Amino acid sequence: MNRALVGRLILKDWYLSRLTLALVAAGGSVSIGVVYVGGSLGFIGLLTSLMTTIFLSILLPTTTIVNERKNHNLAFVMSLPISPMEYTAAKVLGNLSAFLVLWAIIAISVIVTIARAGPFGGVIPLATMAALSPFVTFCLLTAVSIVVESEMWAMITMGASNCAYSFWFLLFRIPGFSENMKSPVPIWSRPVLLILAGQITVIVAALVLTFYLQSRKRDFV
Amino acid sequence: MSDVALKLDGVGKHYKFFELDDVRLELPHGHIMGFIGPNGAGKSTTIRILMGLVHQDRGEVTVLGHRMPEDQAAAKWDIGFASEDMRLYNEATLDWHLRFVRSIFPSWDEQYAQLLLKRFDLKPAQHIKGLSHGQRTKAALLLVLARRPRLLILDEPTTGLDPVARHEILRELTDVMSDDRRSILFSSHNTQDVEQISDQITFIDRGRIIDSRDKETFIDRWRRIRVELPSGIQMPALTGVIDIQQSGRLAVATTNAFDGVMPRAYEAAGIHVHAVENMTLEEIFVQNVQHSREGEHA
Repeated sequence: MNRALVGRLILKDWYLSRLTLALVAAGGSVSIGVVYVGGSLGFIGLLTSLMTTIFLSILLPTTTIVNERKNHNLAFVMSLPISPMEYTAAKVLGNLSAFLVLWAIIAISVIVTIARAGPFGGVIPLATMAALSPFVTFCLLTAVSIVVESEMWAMITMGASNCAYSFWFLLFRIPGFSENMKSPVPIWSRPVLLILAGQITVIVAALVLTFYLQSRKRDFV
Repeated sequence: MSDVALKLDGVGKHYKFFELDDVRLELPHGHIMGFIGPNGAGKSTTIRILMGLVHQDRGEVTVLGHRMPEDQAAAKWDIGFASEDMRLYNEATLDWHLRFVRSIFPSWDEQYAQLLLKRFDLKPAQHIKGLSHGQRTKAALLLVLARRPRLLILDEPTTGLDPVARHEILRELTDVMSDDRRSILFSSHNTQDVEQISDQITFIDRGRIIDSRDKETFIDRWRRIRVELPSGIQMPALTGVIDIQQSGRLAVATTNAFDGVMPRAYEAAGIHVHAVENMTLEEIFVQNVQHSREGEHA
């Protein structure tokens, strides 16, 4: 693995996505501030934080992977002295690192703000699941964009991930879920833990499968 | 070091509607090979296999002594690749691209890069999206040439360019060859460009190499012989004549194995030879493709 070259490709992607990253950083900062103010604005802050990370989860892989292929930049990248696996490593690591930094700052800030705001600990399990959802979307979209190389499939993945947010209301049908949210301390019930485990499994599987499927691929451009 | 810059031996690749079949090709160091074929002939697939971007189903590929696709990362340090459908990043400037490529390749020749900027009349501060097609092509070529690669693989680099831009690019490619350690594989369906700079010619059609030799041999061996047949005399079947077009008493014989005996053989048969004409590379190419396709159907 040529780490220096992979590093340069990562820096390249960060540079080319700088506008997206700056917008998300600005949006995330404002959202955290609104959550911190609390009151009726606090809920709006929570929603905009979630929207900001959803925006990041979609725009980052789209800019660095889907558009690179669509705009015929991939041949330029692959003409550099890298192997397809080094390209894959650069894409996954570059996107993951950029995503994780902003996502972690926004997600942790929001959860810590909720925890310190008062007796709202019961909301933390829902906030954690909500925070992980864009991470799941990001990993799925990154994997599909790299492996399937189809803008259409990337859009289907985006659409399916966004539709999945509509099913969050089903959580409130889980017995005791609504009551647990009113608790002053977080209650990590079995359904909540199962959902979190499922999200983490999808994240890990998407990343591992990306490398596995890329290693078996025979045509790259 | 290997004797050849690149070698394909029995290379094949199967797609649903296209088959690259038993491609055998060698480019010795210090030569420019023009790789000519109609659209969809397999030029780009062959080139992608050479770059390791597409893996062959069968056969051996060696580029600068590296087995492809396994050693592609090592091989690409010394290969400069540009293709007609390759684009630089629209949202970045040419200067950013120059710094990016320079940061990767220790072989980068800054003086030469500056010279090429002047020759191609490119402004480093300009964003790629603001460049014309010709300027984008020249920018991509500049990034390749300033690395001083030992092998240039260029897939249709002059397609869609105006005559001035084409001339500038071909002149630079000719300059590259002043260093006899360098080699170029240059694909095109524009035979004029290829004829201008190549010393080796390879024709490909329908996924098969149909002819490959040095340019002089092509030019020397292909001739058009214009004759007039007296009444009652048929055109004799001479070895090496691949096509005869007859209209009344006038006939044109095309040969791919010309020697001085042929006109004398016609004269001996009582046929009056009007002219023995050289053929352009384009005419040779078209005849070669037609001859090859007729052979397929026979």
